[in-house]
Amino acid sequence: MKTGWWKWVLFLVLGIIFPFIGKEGYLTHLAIAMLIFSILSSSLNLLMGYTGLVSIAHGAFFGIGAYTSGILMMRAGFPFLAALVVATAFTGLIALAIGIPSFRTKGIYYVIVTIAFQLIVSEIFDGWYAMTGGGLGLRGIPKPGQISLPLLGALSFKSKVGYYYLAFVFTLLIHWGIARLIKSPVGISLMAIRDNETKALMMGLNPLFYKIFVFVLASGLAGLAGGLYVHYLEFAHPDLFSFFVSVDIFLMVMLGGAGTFFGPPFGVFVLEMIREFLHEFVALRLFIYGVLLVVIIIFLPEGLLKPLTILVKRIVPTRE
Amino acid sequence: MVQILVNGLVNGAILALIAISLTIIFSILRVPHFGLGGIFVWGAFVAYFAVTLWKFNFLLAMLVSAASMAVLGVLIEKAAFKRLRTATEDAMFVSAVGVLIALENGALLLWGDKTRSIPVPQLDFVFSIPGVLRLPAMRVVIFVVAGLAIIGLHFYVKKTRMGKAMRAVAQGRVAARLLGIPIDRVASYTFALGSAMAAVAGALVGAAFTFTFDMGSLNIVKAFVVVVLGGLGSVAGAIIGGFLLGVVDSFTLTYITSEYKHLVSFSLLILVLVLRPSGLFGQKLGRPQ
Amino acid sequence: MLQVQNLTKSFGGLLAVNNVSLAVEEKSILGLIGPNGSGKTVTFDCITGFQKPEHGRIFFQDQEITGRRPNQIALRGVGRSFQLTGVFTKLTVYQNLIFAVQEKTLRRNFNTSLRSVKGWLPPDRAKRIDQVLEFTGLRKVKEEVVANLPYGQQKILEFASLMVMTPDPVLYMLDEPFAGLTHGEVDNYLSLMRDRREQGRTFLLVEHNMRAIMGICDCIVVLDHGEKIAEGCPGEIQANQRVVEAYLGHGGIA
Repeated sequence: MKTGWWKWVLFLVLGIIFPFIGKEGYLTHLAIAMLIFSILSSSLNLLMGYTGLVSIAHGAFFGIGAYTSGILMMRAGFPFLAALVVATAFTGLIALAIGIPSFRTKGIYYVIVTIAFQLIVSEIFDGWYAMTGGGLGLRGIPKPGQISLPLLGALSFKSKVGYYYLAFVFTLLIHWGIARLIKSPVGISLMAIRDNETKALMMGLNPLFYKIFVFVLASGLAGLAGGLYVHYLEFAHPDLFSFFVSVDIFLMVMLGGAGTFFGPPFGVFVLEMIREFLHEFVALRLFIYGVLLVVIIIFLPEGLLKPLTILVKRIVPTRE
Repeated sequence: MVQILVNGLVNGAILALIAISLTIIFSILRVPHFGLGGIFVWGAFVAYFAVTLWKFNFLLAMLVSAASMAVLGVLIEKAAFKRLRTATEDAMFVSAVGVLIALENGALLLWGDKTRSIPVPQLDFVFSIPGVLRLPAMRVVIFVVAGLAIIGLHFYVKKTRMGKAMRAVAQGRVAARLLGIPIDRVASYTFALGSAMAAVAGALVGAAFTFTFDMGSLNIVKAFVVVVLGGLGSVAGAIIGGFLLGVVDSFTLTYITSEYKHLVSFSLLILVLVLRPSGLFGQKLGRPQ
Repeated sequence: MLQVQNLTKSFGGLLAVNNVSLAVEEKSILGLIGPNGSGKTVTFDCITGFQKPEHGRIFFQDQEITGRRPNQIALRGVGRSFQLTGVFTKLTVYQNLIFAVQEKTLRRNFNTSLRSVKGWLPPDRAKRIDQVLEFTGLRKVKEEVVANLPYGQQKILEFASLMVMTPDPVLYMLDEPFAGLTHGEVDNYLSLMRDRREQGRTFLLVEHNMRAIMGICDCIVVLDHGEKIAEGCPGEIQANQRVVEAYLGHGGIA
């Protein structure tokens, strides 16, 4: 991490001072969404970019964690952190259950299994009225309370700024963990599986265990993001976790650059900007997404961040 | 009970048509063309406008739909898939999903989200066996057209030069190229054929039921279920799988639950894929080299 | 070290390998040759666990490995190179070697990954990598992404990976290692092999390059249409009428 350390510091500093700009306004709301979606895109990137496993089920796991955490806190009286932890673990468990059989399938069949799973889960969210409120959604999900910080006094998470810091801390920790994982022996093994599974197999590695591991990890993280999201919105609805959301997250990763560390969060940023610009025109926005998918996969399979960085470096001479 | 069965068969026929389009494009060009869901939708819209704006009769409208979508299909092949011919299946899948989303939302942009139906006054009557079966004439037409399309396809692939070229490419692209078969041309014809069939399916659904801009996604996923169940690359599998799934869905809807109707078919899909990764009739995927 | 007995494998109705038996002595270099389609790669695949033979048994260091999975066979000390790509293209040379040298099981890697960064590449392993980089001449390109390297260097990297691999392979199975290499590159590769043999390794080699085969192999087995048609030292094989006919009959040596 020697080369990129300044990026971390920059992010840290910007992150901490941001709320002073955004305060309780819409900008902060946007920032919270982007942080949470960064967790989603980076976790999907672990799966797609570093291990080579496409998944169109991330939205489903996002939702499983979301509903679980919300319900635990709303109906079972769990405290916030406990609900989050249990929700994450539960999502991971489900991922384990679906992961083990689905890795018996290969290539396009495997992708279809993830799609089928996403659609099944969407249908359960819609249909299980008693648990999830069905098409009406789940309202009244409580926000976490407050904690007392030594110097800053009580920080209430009920405010936008408070929740922003909560999301920020989680996002930071998770990304730190992912960065560490990528460089570790496990991370190198995952990349080996991505690049040449046959060769990795012939060098003594059992790809199945690794695939299940990263699938459970990535999906669990998506569940965690779900918990964070839903306690902020105080509301959950199947449309927030649908097939199209899965495609959204997928696009974020591809746009930013699968297999790069800063790519997916950048993709989140770009997509959110597009969403802001075209807020009114949902159809146009989605149409552009569709076209973008095609254009990117053909012309920019590495994503936008890399070519952009190269372009910037050419224009702005950097101090070496 | 007969009614449920027949309803299932009608839906199955539509599914079979889409599934066949999917499977021929996949077996010949290895493209998992999710975008056909979008063509399905546009096929309905074109037929609708042909009937309402240009006052064509339904048969003519179907032909117009098929022809125009065939052209669109070829354009899509050139724009979205041609350059990916050497890429992985995942990449082609991404492109296909992009096409689906673009087409569906394009339809939304152009024509709005109103639920419509194609009026076919000539066929407004109903076959009925009182107490047992009630079958609107349009649905019978579905069977007829589907049957004709399948027979037509069969003859095309078996007898014509292009059909034989298609089969050669399906068996091995490199060998086919060595034999001098023009892959570009085969790709165009394949997409044209598949798109035309999907368009006809869309027109039929639009006339027999109702249609909206977003009916493509669910149907194409279902068609994928059929294709996978029957085996990627097997037309027979697509037909049998289509009818089977249509009937299963129909019975599920009536007897088990109307809320989780798709759960059953999708769970079935996962089960089949896990137990027999190549589907019931399908080609095995090669070992990654 | 390696014993293959009555190996038989067919695909569909086609008999790819028919009752093939061979034995590789410790510290020797055995060449497996034959015209295209004679079953050499299928034999390799059966030995290394990528295919399950219908008949026959395979023993490695007197333990049966028939039908075992490739990773299990690799963990016992068999290393294999591949005909086309046997390297990790998006990683750097150095990362390729790190992967080769580190543990392979998830449990061990997970435990290591949780500990401090220092533990990820212990000094003795780092040293091993360094030595191999030096020895193979790859030191200067060690931070280069493998996809950018010329083909010959990629092949050398594949061999280097086997040299540093954990667990250390005692049997090297090389599938057409010299395909696409220049004269000089082949000689380079051969000297690496000879050095390894000095260190006590055993080789089983599939190749078409006759000069290389005749030069380095102690013993040669010839396959044709899935059957073993000859076995012996290079001199004998070159003089063997049946071998010559097999090659000539199939349009000459590839």
